[in-house]
Amino acid sequence: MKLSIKKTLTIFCVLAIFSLFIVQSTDAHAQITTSSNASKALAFIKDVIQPNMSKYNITLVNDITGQPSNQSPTMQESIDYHLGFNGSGPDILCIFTNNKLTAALLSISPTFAHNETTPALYTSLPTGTTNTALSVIEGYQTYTGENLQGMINAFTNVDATQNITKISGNTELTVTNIPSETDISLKYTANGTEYTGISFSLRNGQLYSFVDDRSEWTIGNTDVNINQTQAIALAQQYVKNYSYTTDGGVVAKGFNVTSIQAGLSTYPRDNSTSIFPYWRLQLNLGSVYPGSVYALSIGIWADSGTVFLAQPIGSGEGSSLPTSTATSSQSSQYNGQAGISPIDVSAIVAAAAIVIIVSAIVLKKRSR
Amino acid sequence: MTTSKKLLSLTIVSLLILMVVATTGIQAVKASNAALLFTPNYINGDPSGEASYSDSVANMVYYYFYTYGSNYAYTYNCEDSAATVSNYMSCLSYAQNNFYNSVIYSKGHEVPCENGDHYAILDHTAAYLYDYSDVYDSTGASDRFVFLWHCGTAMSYPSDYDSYGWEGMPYCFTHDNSMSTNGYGSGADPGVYVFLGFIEYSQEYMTGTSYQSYNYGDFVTIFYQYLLEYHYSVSSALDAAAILTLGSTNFGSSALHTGIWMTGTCGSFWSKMVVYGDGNLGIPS
Repeated sequence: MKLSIKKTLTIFCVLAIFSLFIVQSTDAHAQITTSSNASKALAFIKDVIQPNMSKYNITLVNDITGQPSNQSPTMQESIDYHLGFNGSGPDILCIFTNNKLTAALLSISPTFAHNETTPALYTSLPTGTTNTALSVIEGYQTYTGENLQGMINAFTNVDATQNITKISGNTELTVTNIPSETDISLKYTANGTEYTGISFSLRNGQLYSFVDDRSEWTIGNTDVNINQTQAIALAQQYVKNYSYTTDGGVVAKGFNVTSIQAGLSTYPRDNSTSIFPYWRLQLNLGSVYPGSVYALSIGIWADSGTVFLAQPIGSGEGSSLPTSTATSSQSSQYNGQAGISPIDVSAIVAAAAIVIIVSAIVLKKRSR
Repeated sequence: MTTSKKLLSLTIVSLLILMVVATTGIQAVKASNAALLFTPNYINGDPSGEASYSDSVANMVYYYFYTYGSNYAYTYNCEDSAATVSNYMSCLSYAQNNFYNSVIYSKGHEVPCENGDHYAILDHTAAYLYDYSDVYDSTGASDRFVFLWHCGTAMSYPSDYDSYGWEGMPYCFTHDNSMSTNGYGSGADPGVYVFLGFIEYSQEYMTGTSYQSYNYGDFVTIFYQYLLEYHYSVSSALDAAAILTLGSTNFGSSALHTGIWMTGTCGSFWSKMVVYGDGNLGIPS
């Protein structure tokens, strides 16, 4: 089939208009992809949060996969379900790392921010802080298929309305109550060091947030061969020869250490996700040193006694005080460094294009 | 006039209308926000490495605005020697006068000044950006989302008017004296502003959070990632950042919010990051 020039031009014009309208109306952020983790998130909501399904119309709002900001090789997926109820309702945000759920949050969608300030969640969870907490863990056991009996047993004879720290086997249960909120953590513990585990918060009696960092970090070893006294002595010795410089080149050394705080914690080794126990020490200084530094942070591996971290701890206060006359208000005239805005640029381009097209039409008519 | 000529004319007219609408009408409404990022890094103000790391955090925040902030027509990342008092003021004024919403981020140092109830941000040369004059005169109602990671940025609020003028950064940036001082979570007000700042001292970005190898710069980066890439509300983005980098179950129960004992030239205090206004809002879109 041979098309005439006029017909070809007509088809081209129609397609051009159609394409422009498509481009104009497309919003990249409105596109939602789905994944297998979306169904996992839904299962988590049903098993752990246990919303009263008869009240809600559950819809998937967002499912976005991206690279985490900390340059880690792991991928993160953020899934957002809206629990619609009478034109409003809360959102449940689920974060997956390496395809495993690492966090879930109850949220108010910014869309409904002006309608409500507290997300109303009607659940089938039992009332009472301890019962609710136990039900959350049992629900998570159902969701994962893991045996979490050790965590459930840790709650034996525990009243979660009271603050408590209790170790059962290798599980450390910590309950912290602050106004309107109860925070519960169940961590694997060995040799006085907390590693990974499950933690969650109940706000106004309902599950507000849930965290499981066990899939993010693996335990390298649990060896603690250096005690606290030895760690403090090592830090004191190390800091005698320690110095740091400011960004402007000022060297600070000869520190007057007035007190030391020390505790066991974990830290990844060799840029991996394997974590090891270490002594985390904060050496408080008797005065403020250059760069608004008031303390030094020292890290010592608990297995080998090696110092692997030494860092000044500063603040965002100012250490120099110029006089008011030297720093009086300056002109607010726009100096142009920010450049011309994209609106201005596109308007100029559009105006130029219009002039060219109109000129071409006029010239064409005149030539006839 | 043949059908083809009619169609051709219609096409040209449609193209012209679309171009005009796209570049003036629709674009002016959709692309109605400005994002200003300031990282002054004043000379000798920080231990070595903090300035370059602060720049890299600001670059990531800028990347999120550039990549996901489709309605941000004006995004300016002002770092180091470019971050002068005059540039702060000119950019704030430009954004205030030309865009429907202004989103402001600033990281660095701040000092109390005048009678102690006023505060000044230090620019790259340690010159003062005063709350009551420089900030107040360059800002207004369009400054909907303000995040100031400097010492004392949430102090003196609600604001009083004294012989110098209005006190404190929260009011001088937003010009709203009725924001909730507990804007995170259920304490949020139904307003249109969100202000994030510090009671007493702020941490340096390189300082470790005590959760694995994360530091406070990671917290800020992930906060903006969840705001812009994942479209979370301010409270939820703070929660996500707290879970991932502070090792807490949410921002409200983290030490960053409940208080970290810190020392400076003004003494030792429990230092807290706080949210004023409506934390249930997302970043202006």
